[in-house]
Amino acid sequence: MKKPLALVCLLLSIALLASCGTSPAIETDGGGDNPGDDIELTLWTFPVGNWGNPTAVSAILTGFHKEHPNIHISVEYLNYDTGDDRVLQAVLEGSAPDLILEGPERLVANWGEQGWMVDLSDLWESPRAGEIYDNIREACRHGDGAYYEFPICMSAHCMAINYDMFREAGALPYIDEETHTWTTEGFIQAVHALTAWGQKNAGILYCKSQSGDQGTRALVTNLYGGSFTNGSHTAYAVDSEENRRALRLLYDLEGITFEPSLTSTDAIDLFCKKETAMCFCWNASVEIQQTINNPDLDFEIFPMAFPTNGDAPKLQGGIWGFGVFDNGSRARAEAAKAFIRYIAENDATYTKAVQISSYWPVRDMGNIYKNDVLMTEYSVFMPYMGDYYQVTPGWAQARAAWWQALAKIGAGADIAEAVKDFPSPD
Amino acid sequence: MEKKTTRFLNMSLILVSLFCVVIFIVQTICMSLMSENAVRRLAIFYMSGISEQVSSHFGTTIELRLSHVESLVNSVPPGRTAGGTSMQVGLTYNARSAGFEYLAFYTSDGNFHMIFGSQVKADVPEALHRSVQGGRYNVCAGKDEAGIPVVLIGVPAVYPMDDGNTSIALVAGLPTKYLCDTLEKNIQKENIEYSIIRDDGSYVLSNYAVEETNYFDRVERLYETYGGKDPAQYAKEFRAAMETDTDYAGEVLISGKRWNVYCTNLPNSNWHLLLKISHNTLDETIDLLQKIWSCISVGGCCLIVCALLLVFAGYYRLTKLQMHALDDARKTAEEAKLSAERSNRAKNEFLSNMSHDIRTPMNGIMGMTSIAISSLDNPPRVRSCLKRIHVSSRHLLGLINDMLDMSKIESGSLALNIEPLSVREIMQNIVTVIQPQIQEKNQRFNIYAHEIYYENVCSDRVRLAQILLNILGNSVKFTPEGGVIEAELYEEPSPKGDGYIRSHLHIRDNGIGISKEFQSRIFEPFAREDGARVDKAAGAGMGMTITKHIVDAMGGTIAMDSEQGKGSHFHITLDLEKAAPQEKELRLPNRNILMIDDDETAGRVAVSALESIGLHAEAAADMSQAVRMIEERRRGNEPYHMLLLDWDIQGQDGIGAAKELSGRFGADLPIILITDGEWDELEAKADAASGICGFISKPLFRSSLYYGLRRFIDMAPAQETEAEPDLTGRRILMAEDNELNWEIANGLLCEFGLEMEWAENGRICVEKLEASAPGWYDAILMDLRMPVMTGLEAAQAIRALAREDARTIPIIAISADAFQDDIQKCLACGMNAHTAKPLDPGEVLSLLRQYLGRDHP
Repeated sequence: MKKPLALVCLLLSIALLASCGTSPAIETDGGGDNPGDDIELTLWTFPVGNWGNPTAVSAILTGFHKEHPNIHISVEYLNYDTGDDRVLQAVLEGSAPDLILEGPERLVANWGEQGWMVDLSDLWESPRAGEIYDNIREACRHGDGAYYEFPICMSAHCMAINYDMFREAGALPYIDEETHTWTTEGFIQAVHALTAWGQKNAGILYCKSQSGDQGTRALVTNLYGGSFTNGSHTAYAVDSEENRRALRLLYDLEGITFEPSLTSTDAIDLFCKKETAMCFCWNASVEIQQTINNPDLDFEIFPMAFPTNGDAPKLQGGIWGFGVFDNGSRARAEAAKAFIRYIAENDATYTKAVQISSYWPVRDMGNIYKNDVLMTEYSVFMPYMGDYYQVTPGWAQARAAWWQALAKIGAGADIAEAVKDFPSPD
Repeated sequence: MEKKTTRFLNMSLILVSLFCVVIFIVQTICMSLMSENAVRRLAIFYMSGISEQVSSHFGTTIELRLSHVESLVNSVPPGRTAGGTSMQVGLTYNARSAGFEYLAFYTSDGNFHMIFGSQVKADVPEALHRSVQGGRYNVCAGKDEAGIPVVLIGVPAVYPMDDGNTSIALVAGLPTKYLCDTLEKNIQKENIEYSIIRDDGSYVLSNYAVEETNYFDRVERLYETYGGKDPAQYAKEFRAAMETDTDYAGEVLISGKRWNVYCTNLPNSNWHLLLKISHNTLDETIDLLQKIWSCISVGGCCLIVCALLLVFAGYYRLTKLQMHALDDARKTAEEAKLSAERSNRAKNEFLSNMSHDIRTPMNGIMGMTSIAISSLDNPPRVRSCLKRIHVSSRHLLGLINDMLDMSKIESGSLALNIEPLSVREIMQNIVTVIQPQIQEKNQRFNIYAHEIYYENVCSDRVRLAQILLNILGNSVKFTPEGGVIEAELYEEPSPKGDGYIRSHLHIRDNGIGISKEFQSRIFEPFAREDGARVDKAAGAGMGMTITKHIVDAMGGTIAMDSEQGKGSHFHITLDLEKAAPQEKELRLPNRNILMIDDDETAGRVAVSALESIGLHAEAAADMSQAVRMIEERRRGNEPYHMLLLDWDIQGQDGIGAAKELSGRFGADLPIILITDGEWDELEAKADAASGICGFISKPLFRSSLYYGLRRFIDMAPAQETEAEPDLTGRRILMAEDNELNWEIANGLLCEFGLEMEWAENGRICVEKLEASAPGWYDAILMDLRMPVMTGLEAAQAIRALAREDARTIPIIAISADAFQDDIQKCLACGMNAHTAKPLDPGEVLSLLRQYLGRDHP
């Protein structure tokens, strides 16, 4: 009798204990395949302004996490020296990041071309995305129609002049100070004025390497309305009458020299040291950096668009945005898109994201840099953003061919000969 | 008793169940009260923990931001810059790197000169002004142009400005939302309301919409009196806590809902963090826990109650069973007690009866003996006395035998001595034995045997006879004078197989019958029916018990049907093994036989038996019919060869009837008289004039008819009747240590021509045999209990002798040790048979004829 009673008590105890117990939490590897599961994403950023600065980025992440508490983002900050290799290695090892911040030349022309990226076309369907400038949209779209980048910010590369030197040389009349533009003729006259004033080196076409080549390309193509590629980005158009004429002008114009031994950095240094009156490789960041790094800089830097023969300037620029690597998880890809939406769809957040980059919005947001004189000044160039032809196939070879062509011209080679060897897209 | 126990069990079950329910209700109430306290303590603990984290994180954040602003100042040292664009670009770049969205020079006139970001203004400019003018850091709240709340961090710094003036501080700003987001990382609970207020109660920030600008106004407006505190009291306590920089925890009532509030000071500021969480939020968790516990408790309670119910049900059932068992045991005990009492009473009655029954014949024996002694000169008188002494002795012996049998039955030692026997002999003996009693009571006794094809069967002859005698004796005893007693015997195939026959014996009488009450216990020992009707009937009440046990031991059945005043009917069924060999083919030449019996049944049975042995028989129920039939036969020239005439025909003496027939039809018509028993007296009366040429006793078995008739019918010599062995001159050695017994035996047996020789003990018996010539003695009668050498030892010694007749000489035990064990021991020691004392000359002679007849045909 005791044994059955004890057995009943034991069973009751077990039942009660089992009822009181709690089932262990289900741990996942962050895959998030089930709705509501925690998802851990990785974001890799190149140093696009303060997107390489954890303090600045954390503000964005904090706000995002508040809205999406189940999505956790860890950030790895890359640099341009090793970033490409780091990404390549990660892709090969199957540990590519979910999100990456870079420009179309990598996201679209390189990794997208390789098939590593997720098509972000759905992000482009929102009203906010519809406000993005067309040339930016085109730059983010691959030839196959897929969007491998959703842009956040952009920057226009321009040139700079030594405002004090121009004033003293009497060259200010040749520039439009309000619009920061001038004509080819004005440019020629300004150079003449400078040289006449005694500034023998008005400007230098640096052609030792491809660094800063966007400046020399923009200078050449703007002078007489040339272009670097065709409109559909399928062929290079360097070898054109407009470009050859521009190169001839520059080569022949006294005060402008082709310097195969100088890089863009050298050219900036010479400009900041007042060795030259103008610098063809310039933008807001360069000015900030030069201002900070050269406390003794004692002249007024005045940014200018490249001179044209009457047309609106077409500036080369940078576009930065997010791409999503295809890691085989739909949930993770959707989580990554949610992060992009969080930034792009809310004006305040978007403004913050752009301000962190220290660049400008890719859609019309007005002046997001209130009371910031410098950024406000540079924002005038944004409407001049030209065709983003860096997504043209064979771009890497074309860049190399460009600076080599300049070097040849600087060395006295025939201009027509120098510009005819550009890669043909497959 | 059963009702009390059931009531107790039911009450116990109800009480225990109620006790469990009460315990669990109390437990639930206690849990509820405890959870209330737990919620309160948990709220304080929870919010103090959150506050501590938030405060710590707030302090860290503010310190970090202060350090950022300090770094800004250090990156562009105020004393080493000439101002202008370069200075502002440096500050801007570094401020943006630190994540600030606002940067401004703060001037002594209280204006913010923005370096970047929307124009901001402090909510309480005086505090900022006082701090930076005093050279101290300051964190304050403000708003930008769009009204977005911002947190401003001011560090004293004197920078040259574009308008030629100098700043007194550099102020960097962040949207308050950033601070909220940062703080909420520590709170991460949507159900927690928090706000940061200043010393005066004005809001710095809040994660919920507020209509008031001052928290104390909100307290006054929303808080309800609760716990004895009115809103003013709450506000007073808040102020007191904030002034003393101590934490405040309390429970408030807003719009009927309970909230737990907690207030703590934030470092590096004059701000206070105010947390508020709905009591229900915490209570829900505890309440859920409590509900789970309640469910578990209720479930547990139900399980326990169910278990209790099961246990009680089992216990109840067990108890009921036990009570039933006790009841049954009690009834059994009562019945046993009644039975014992009845048995005891029966025994007492038995003893009383026995005392009477034994004393009566003993008195008779002693009295008659005295009379005989005193009347030696009067031989008729002596003869009469001896006859009565003989009757009393036999009655006494019967009582003693019954007692012995009962003893065997009660000790379970009743055993059967199965041996071949003749049913005919048994029945004839019974008739012989019972007939005198029947005649004494002037009763009519009809006995029929029909369809008996197997007369030789295996059974215990003594016990079988005992069955018949007991029942017949009772019938005679309880049937009044002039009554009728019938015995019917027949056979049928046995379900046990071809080796057996099933014998049916019906005994009917028209006596006083047996009451229904006594019928149920007629087979119990010492049972005698009460009442004056039977008092005069002698008996110890053991006969039917013995009969029942013997029938049971034989594997048979005994049934009884009786009605008081009408008589009784006993039916005994026995499956008896056929003995080998059976009688030889019983066939007589075809002769015409007339059976004359006023008993139609007897006549029909006799005709059937006669025809079964080859005769042509007819029956006549009275004399006139017989005469007519004889005459018809004679006229038809098919006369009867023989007449079988019942000894009593319609009250007419059989001898007289025989004379009448003989006189009418001549003496050449043989007449056989059918008697109910011994015909010695009839034989003496019958003379030649009667025409009677022979007698046959009932019942009329085929063999008895065959052997009785064949000598009157022409037969071959081989079919002559086998004569019984003549014992005259046979030498019998009798071993008997008691001289009186020897003399009695010698006197009784010598009358039959036997030559008796006495051996005083077993040893002498053996020695006399050894000393005799082989074949000198024809048989040995051996007492068992003897000095020097017992009968058993002597028998073994004789069988062991090295002489030829030692192995064949019949040794018959004569002993008072008459139990079956004793018989078996005798047989085991080499004896041939056993007969009990007192010595019955008939039985002894029968045994001697049986054994000597084989050896000496």
